[in-house]
Amino acid sequence: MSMKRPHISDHKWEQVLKSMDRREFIVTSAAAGALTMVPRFAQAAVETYRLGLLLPVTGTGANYADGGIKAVMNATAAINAKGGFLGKHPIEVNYRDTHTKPDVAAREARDVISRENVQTIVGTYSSACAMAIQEIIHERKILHLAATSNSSKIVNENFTPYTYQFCPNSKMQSGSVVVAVAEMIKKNGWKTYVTIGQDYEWGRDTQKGFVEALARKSAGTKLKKELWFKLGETEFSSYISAIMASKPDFAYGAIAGKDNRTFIRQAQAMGLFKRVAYPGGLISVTEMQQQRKSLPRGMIGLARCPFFAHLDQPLMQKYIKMHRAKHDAYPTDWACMHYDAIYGLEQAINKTGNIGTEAVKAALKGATMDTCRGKATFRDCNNQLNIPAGYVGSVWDSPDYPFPIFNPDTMIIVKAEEVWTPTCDDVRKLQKKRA
Amino acid sequence: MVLLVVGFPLVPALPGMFWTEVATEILILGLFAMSFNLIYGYMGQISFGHAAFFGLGAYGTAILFRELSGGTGAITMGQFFVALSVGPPVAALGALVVGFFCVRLTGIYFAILTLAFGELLFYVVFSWYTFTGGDDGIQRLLPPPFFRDATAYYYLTLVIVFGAAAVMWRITRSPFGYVLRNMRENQLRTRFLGIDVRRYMLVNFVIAGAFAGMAGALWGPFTRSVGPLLLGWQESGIAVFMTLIGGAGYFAGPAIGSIIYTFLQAYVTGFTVYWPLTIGTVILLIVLFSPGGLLAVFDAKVGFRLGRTPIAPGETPNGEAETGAAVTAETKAGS
Repeated sequence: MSMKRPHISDHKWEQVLKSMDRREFIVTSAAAGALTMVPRFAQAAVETYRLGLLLPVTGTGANYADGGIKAVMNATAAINAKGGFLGKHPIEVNYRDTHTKPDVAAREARDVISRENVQTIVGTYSSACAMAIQEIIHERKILHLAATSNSSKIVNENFTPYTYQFCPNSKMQSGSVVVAVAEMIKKNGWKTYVTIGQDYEWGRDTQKGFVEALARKSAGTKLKKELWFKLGETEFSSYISAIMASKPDFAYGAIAGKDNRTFIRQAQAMGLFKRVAYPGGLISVTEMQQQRKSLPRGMIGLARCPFFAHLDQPLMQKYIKMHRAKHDAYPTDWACMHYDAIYGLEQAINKTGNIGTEAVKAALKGATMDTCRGKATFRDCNNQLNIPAGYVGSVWDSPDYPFPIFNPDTMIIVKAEEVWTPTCDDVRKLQKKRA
Repeated sequence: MVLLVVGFPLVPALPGMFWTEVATEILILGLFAMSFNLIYGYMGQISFGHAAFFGLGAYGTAILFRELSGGTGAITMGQFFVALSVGPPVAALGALVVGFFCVRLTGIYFAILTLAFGELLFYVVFSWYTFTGGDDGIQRLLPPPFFRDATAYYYLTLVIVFGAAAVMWRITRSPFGYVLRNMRENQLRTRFLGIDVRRYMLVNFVIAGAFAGMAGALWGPFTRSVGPLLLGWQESGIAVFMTLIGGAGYFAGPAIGSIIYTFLQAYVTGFTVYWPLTIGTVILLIVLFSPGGLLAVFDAKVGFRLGRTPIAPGETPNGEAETGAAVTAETKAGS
């Protein structure tokens, strides 16, 4: 008799995460442990598609990862309801917590590849985590769908043909903010600014992209000060005081995750937003939902995949309906990007007609696909999907939702091609040769 | 010990690559924990910053690796071994500087100072983007083609770790090792014997740092990347946990702790995200019911010595030691 070891996909995620008391944990662990002692027999006739999901439920990225986990579970459950990929390959999701730490992510990537034989890895919220696992997936020839890790290095300096990026990269994202900020500079006559960012790959890359792009667009605007803080910072008062003491015309923040929520709360309490304009900080649907009361109205923010910007897209409509039915909530940006990644994978498999990694990789190369953000195409030279680079808008109370969104009348959606590395020759110059 | 020596070379015979990789991790972290035990189990001082030397060794190797390969990951066999050999001296140098200050103190002050230096070094590596890569760390640490195979790298690790363990064993059995134990029991008495306690502590600190660096040097090419968290206090905690699990009073204790910790981690993370809860529970149980570690229980029941440190001079006839956490643990188990 064959017995299958329980997988995270067999459970409702919330139940695993929240409803497990100590006794249940011990019993479940013992039972699961006993089950793993039973040899895993090959499942006759059914070839399972094994997917590795690497996201943090601890660390600063946990704030966003919940949406990603829900989206992957929802999408795979829907595909499995039809029999799996191509109607005959049920998807098995092997989840691992990266703790938002690169060395843990690398370890877990190795684990799911060697032990669970996954064919694709999805997730890796943190860019540093994504870069750590790129070494492993490249060597083992495993597909990597970077749904939310968006350092530009992932598709440029650290490029591997096995990684496909479904989110706008950090250079695109900061470039899109510059488009909006440049207009404000012109309108308000701003001369100086300061930046504050998370001292890690994404924060550094995003800040650098912003500063360089702004220098090109508005050479007269001077950077007065750069402030960096460690991931997971909980006390921002000294940073906020330093911003105010510099008396800039505006401040730019490269902050995401729990840190972003903490920073906005403390900055608001200290009156930063009344004294210094703060355009272009990350305000995704997560922030809109979690800080629905406190988020300053009129604040200019940036989102990556806000559902309300694409209500006309059939895939987005389908996903909103599915997400609301299951969770009684609207999907976050992070859910949206992960949903696109899974459906992107399905479209590539449908196109090639088999689930072999090399075939799927070839099908994804330069592919045009349906996404929640409309039709999008992978750039040939670095596998960057040409979805919008950023959604810049002002926080506004909508009568349609129980939380604020960006005012649709003033929201700017910046196209990828406007702000990404201009030519493929430029991209190739950045890409380092791999052994 | 015999089981370890016989069992480890047979691991690659198990089906699949997974267990070979887990065993490689066990060996590297085991070496790291054994180097920590030179300070804790033998010298009687606890270091919460020992990962700094593990990280320095890893970064020393990784930076030279990056320079030699030009960032592509292509490296010759000779260059690979040169890069590997740089880890221990870099870590030893770091330990010399840190140890110079730390050995002036003992007990909790020693522990806090090692923690402070560990965090200092972590922040230097974390912030020095142009040299260490900051939070990104350093990627593309691909060994030469022969050692990319998990089995080949495992045997390389096995040889180095067993060699290092043999050297450590010899050190702990040398007059120097006995001086360390003497210091652990009573520094004042040791000083009265005319021994320069600080100098001995510093030398041991540097030796422990070098072995931690050796473990770090092996870690980078194994995971193909290094990150600043390798120097963090949580990494130091892993060495402490492993030593507590196995038993600080035994030479093989940290190695046994590494086997249990790493195996448990590989096993538990396969079906639950509650790994920190699991390891916390294990440590709690060990501290409450077997403070001398699992080897102490085994030793008490079966009577094997397993490299247990000889009865310390501070022990009283009823088996209680005057000072030293490690000795207290082992004597309780042995009484």
